[in-house]
Amino acid sequence: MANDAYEDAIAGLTKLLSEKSDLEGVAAAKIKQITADLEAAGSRDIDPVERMKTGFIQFKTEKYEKNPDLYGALAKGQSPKFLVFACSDSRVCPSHILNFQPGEAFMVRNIANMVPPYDQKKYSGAGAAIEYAVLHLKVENIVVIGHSCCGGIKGLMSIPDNGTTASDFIEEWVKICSSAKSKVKKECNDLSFEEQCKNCEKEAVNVSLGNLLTYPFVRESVVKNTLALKGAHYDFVNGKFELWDLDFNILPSVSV
Amino acid sequence: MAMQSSPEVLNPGMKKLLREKGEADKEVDGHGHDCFDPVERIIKGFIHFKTTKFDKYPECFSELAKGQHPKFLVFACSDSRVSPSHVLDFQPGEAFMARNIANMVPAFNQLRYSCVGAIIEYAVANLQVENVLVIGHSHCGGIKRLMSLPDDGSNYYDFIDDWVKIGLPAKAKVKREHPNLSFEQQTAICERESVNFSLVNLLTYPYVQRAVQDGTLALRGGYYDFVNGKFELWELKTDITPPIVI
Repeated sequence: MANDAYEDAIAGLTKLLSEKSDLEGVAAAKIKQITADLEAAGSRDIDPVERMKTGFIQFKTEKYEKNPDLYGALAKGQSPKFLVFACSDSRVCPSHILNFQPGEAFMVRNIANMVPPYDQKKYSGAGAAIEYAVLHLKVENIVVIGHSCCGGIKGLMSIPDNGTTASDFIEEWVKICSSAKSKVKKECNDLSFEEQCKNCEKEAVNVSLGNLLTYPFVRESVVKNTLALKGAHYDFVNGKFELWDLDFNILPSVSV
Repeated sequence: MAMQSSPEVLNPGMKKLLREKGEADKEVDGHGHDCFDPVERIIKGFIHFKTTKFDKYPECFSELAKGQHPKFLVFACSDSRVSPSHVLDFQPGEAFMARNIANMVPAFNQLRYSCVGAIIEYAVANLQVENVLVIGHSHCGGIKRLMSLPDDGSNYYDFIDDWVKIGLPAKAKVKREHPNLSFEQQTAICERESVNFSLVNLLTYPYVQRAVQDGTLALRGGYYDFVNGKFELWELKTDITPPIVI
């Protein structure tokens, strides 16, 4: 293993160092460089426990202990302004891409950032998060964020027309946004599969925004104008972010 | 209801324009709230990410654009204070993420829990993550609700009560083992105990079972105490002992 070679080299240098004291400076620099190389190599082949330890220590020393007022206040309670639905994809965490700080955003992460319609039997997980965020925390904004190269949307677009599925859960889950798929297949029939997927990533967000309105507590807050629904798409290939609103208007009645 | 079809596309050259657009949005924002403008906040947040990370590390992000190879699947609570990207300093590409109320993993159930099932299936069977980490935390509203559920099984909330009932076995264990502790102490123990039940529930998924048996997947529990700034980490070991030959 490479590690043994490094350790042999260090042992050799240390021996040399003890014999020729005038080489001390050179050897010390060499040892330092080897140690640095070793550390870099180690970080590629990570020890998960070490990784989590250093991660938490970084957070604790750089954030937690530096902002005692913020963390002291957060220990008493949370009052986030946002409920965010984002994909489970490791590349799209809203804490990074929107720089959300602790306390700012109540977060749901699932495959393809989907909001299922109100269904107490099939979708209690999403329902519970929406209910908690809207009724209990009274968030003012719900943002559903789609993203480029989404594996879940690709899975949805790849389900054969006869509806047969090959997975235990994935296809069943992404079917929540089947209507987005039909719309894209109808309207963008001449586009390549990749282009269709990209369109579907955004259309699926719109289906989710529509599904949010099937929750009575969401509908009520939207009508009262205390809750806004927003859609978004993060393109990590080009570094772009799109943001749009779901306009919800009740038009004055027309008497004829 | 109408979908507004003029999304704001962000790129660095449009920063100034966006700032103006942000101002414009603020004016038309009919909420009449204080100075907080959610659109402005989102725009600022993305520009911060784009300038301090995305544009600064082009090799890293162009590599990630080709595909993800996270080593971790993490279950954390939806609570706004416990994002693992902060608490464990996870960087883009490092952790596939599930966030739900009280970081619960239900047992394999295709009819009721396709959401969690799809995440586990994708992360373990497709991405072949090497670690699943379930992180509980202090002052968890979901666990508090679980501990407060009336014994007659009736629900007050449309969804929350039913969802947190995934943790009923943890609640029963805590009530049985610590009958004399205060409600707060019982709740704090249940925050950890329900992580353990989630770890065991993970084993009901065939891909998890297989990978654990093959030694390619480790199941870990974590607990973030944000009152005292502490993190606990442990592992579910499923060793088979050497046989006793009789």
